[in-house]
Amino acid sequence: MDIDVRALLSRRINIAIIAGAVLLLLLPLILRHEYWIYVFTIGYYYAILALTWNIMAGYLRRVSFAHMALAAIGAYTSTLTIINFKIPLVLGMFLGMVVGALSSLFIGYLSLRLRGVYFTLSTLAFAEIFRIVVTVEYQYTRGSLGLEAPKLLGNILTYVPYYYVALAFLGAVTILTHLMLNSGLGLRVKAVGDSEEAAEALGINSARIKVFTFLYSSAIASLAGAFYGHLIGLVSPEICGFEQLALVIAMSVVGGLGTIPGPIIGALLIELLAEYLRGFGIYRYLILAALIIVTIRFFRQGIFGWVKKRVLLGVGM
Amino acid sequence: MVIELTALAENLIVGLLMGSFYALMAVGLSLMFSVMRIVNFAHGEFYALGGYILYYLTTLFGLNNFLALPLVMAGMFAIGLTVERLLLRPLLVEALGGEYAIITTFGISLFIVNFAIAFFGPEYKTPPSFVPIFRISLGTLYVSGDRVLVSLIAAGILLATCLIIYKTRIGLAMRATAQNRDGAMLCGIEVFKTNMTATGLAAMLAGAAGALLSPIMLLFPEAGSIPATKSYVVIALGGMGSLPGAIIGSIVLGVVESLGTVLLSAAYRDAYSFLVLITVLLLRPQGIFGVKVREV
Amino acid sequence: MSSKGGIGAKTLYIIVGLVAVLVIAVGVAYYLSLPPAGQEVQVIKIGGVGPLSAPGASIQGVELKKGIEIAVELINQEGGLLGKKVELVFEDTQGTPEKGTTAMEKLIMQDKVPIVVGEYHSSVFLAEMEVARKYGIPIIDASAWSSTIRTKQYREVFATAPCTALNAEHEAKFIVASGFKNVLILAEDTDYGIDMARDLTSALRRLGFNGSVVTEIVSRTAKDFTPTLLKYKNLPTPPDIIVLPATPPAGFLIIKQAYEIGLVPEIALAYEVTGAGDRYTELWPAVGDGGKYLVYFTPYSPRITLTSLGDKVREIYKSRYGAEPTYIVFNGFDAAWAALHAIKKAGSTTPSALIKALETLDIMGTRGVIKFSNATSPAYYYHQWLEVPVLTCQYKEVNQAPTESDIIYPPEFATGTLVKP
Repeated sequence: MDIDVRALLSRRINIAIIAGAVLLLLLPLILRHEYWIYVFTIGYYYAILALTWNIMAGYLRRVSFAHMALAAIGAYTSTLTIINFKIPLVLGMFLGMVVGALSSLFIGYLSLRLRGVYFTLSTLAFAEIFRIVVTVEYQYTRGSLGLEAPKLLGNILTYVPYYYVALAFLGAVTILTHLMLNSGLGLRVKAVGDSEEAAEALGINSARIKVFTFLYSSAIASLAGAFYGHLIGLVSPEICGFEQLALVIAMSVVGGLGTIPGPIIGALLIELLAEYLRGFGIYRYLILAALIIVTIRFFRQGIFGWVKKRVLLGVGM
Repeated sequence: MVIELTALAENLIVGLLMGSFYALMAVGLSLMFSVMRIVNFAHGEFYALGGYILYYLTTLFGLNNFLALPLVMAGMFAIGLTVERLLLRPLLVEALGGEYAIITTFGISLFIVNFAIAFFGPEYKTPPSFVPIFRISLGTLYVSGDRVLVSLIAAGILLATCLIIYKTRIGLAMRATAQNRDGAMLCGIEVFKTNMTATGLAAMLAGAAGALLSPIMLLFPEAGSIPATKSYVVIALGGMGSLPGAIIGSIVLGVVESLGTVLLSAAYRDAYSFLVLITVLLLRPQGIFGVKVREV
Repeated sequence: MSSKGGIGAKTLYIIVGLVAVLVIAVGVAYYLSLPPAGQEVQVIKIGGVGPLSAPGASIQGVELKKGIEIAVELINQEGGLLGKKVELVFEDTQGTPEKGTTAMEKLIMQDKVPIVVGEYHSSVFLAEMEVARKYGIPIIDASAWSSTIRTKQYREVFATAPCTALNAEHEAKFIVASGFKNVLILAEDTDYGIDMARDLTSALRRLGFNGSVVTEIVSRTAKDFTPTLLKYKNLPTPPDIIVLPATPPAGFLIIKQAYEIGLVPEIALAYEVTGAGDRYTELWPAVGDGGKYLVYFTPYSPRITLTSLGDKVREIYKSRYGAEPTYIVFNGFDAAWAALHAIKKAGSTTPSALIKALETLDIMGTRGVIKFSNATSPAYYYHQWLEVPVLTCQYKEVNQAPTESDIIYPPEFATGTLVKP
């Protein structure tokens, strides 16, 4: 019975996901408007970050405050190596990912063997140090003015190709993450997240699992950051600002912690809402903060979790 | 680089003074962590809120600072109780993982900052100072008098807090809960009441720090973020949940920063504390005064 | 679990549940993307950009917007442009380059504006000008100071705002003319602070200054600058002027703390170059007695003689908002004024015609005749309004307002002279 339900659930979700994916693929044809295509493209960037942040917070149950800093590391590494060493753009982005991954390895090694909150504090410290270094080492990074990044696709005048690149990137990350989380490795990740003691008792090397998960999440975040830099054409410390982090956390939490589609839905919803409610200005983050608090307090599973439980399984709250 | 003795002395004093304010922040944070196992990421916003309450009490109602300070502390205590009752307790009742507490306090922090931006305004405010700016000169050595006085008040509040923790029943309950939660519960300690008091005290101390410091350091919505990040470093340095560790850690950090600015570079001032944190994690993760605790 | 009969219906539910959100979003987006009917004949739209909310500098963004609004109003009172009313579409760029790009895309693609004015953050303007260039739409920098914006020499980009290099020239002349010998620059750790320190140093050298110039970079978020200040106070030859390219609160805190340790004003004068003029209501409570003898740089002082247009703007602003306008209001006004008159001069809203009109524009603004230089050397002269006045003033009493403080440099605007304790 239990297995039946799960199989049923996953089939229904698959149908919904395919319908959603088809819709997103056709979107530029329906929405022949550069501005909204651009907004969606940015939305996909946030979706990737929310998705990977959620692997840490929702599955491994460790909160990282360095996620945006890692994205910024990817962006800066890529742009700086391309400008200074004239390497091909794709190689630059790859290097961005590698440097981001190495940084996460360092933080992970330092703090993941300790209690969860040490990890959070270390990521906070790392993010702060990174932000200070970027603003102070002005001659290389051009400080808060930002560094001009070459465009990913050269000087084309439309965002449609970027839209598809971003969508493909998001699709690849989603599929990869789905496969990872449903493999033996993913089961171990969830086990360590649920209870480290129990996982250790089952013979799982929890330290290694934690470092791996952080590495995975960070490497993708860095690559996404590099992509973002080459999309907007400017790399600046705003990428790792407090507000951006808040945005990503809100997207994950509101969409649904511990689910894969949740952060994607949350990201697109919040990004579109933010664009639509541009005029609200100063109340924007106030609303986001209230959303985070209320979701955690009353709708802990978020939008996707709620839909899944209520609509798919017919279980009351 | 050679620095003269007076310069060294002046910097030591400045570092000690800053240390006393870090201690006010860190003790509350440490208390909350030891009792509830929650690191409050909205601690800096409690600081700013304390500053704003003082600002409005003194400018709108014309209250004297010394009269307003107890009111600020009472108000912040009440805010702390409310936060615990409405937002933190449900997480502990359901025994949810630490990630929910972190996200909740992060949300509270975001909320208070943006509430302040929207309703108090993003500009810099300066509450009237506790005492007029004056200098104390000891020979060639200048010390800012208002800072010395204000840090004496901070030390007084700290002392009173320590008395509460070490000499009263509720203090005993907090220490017992910190040592062993289930054991405390078995002994008839009302753990949730203890939690509530700890959060109230933490908010009160952070608010007091904000009220004392904002006339000196200016007040704006994000004013608390730097003092708060410093206090996170301090509690890791001193050992999570250790009160003497928090106090000594604060003083050490104040002095390290002050001397680091002169001996090394001023631009990296805020980075020193984080480097301290990373070094501590690398060499002695349990902190100076901490005991190695297993992850629960 | 309910019976199997419900499966089909429930499958439908999920698809509806998950996709509905996107469909609604797309619907809304599509609806918004449709051009409103009949707009093209009724009004001419011009675009405005600037930070109205965090993390941007919203105080300045709001001032800027007010200035632009007054310009649009005045034009409409004169009967609009080309027989049509002018409408301002202002977008909040939130101080982030990404939102700047989005705002520009929206203004150009959706609102079909032929020209954009505004911005306060240089990093955001750098992103915005790329979009302007992509579509060939002219953009006028109202209040972003970075010289990089000018040195890129885009045809579409014009600047009525003064730039760091020009301001540094002014400050260097003042320092040399006033006979200071040891200059300490405490610059904040941003592009603004560091650019200013570098430009000021090189401007001083160009002017043949032979005293010492030392730059120290300080953290913008630090609260306690006492250690740094003590270091310079205890030097054998301490500085006699401390230049502060540091935005508040850092700049204000430095002044206060320098006073507390006895460095200012007895040993050295503080020279604030960022916001002591327009933000004096925040300055005085923060610095107290330490603000006496404070020298400050400003692009505008209420003591300066404005043009008759400038007086008019000032009166409108004062009667409406009950306060003296800051330089940012005039910056916003002048940028919008130039844009509107370019449309008038070109007799059309074709972007290329507007660029040509701007290049030869010659129109009275609030603080003089607005003309854009076509010189390319030095590089930052390109499309820059060179004659925009910049001033150095001094507070000679505690709690003095800019309306009472003397302009002490340049001599043609001066209402008093430098006073030392």
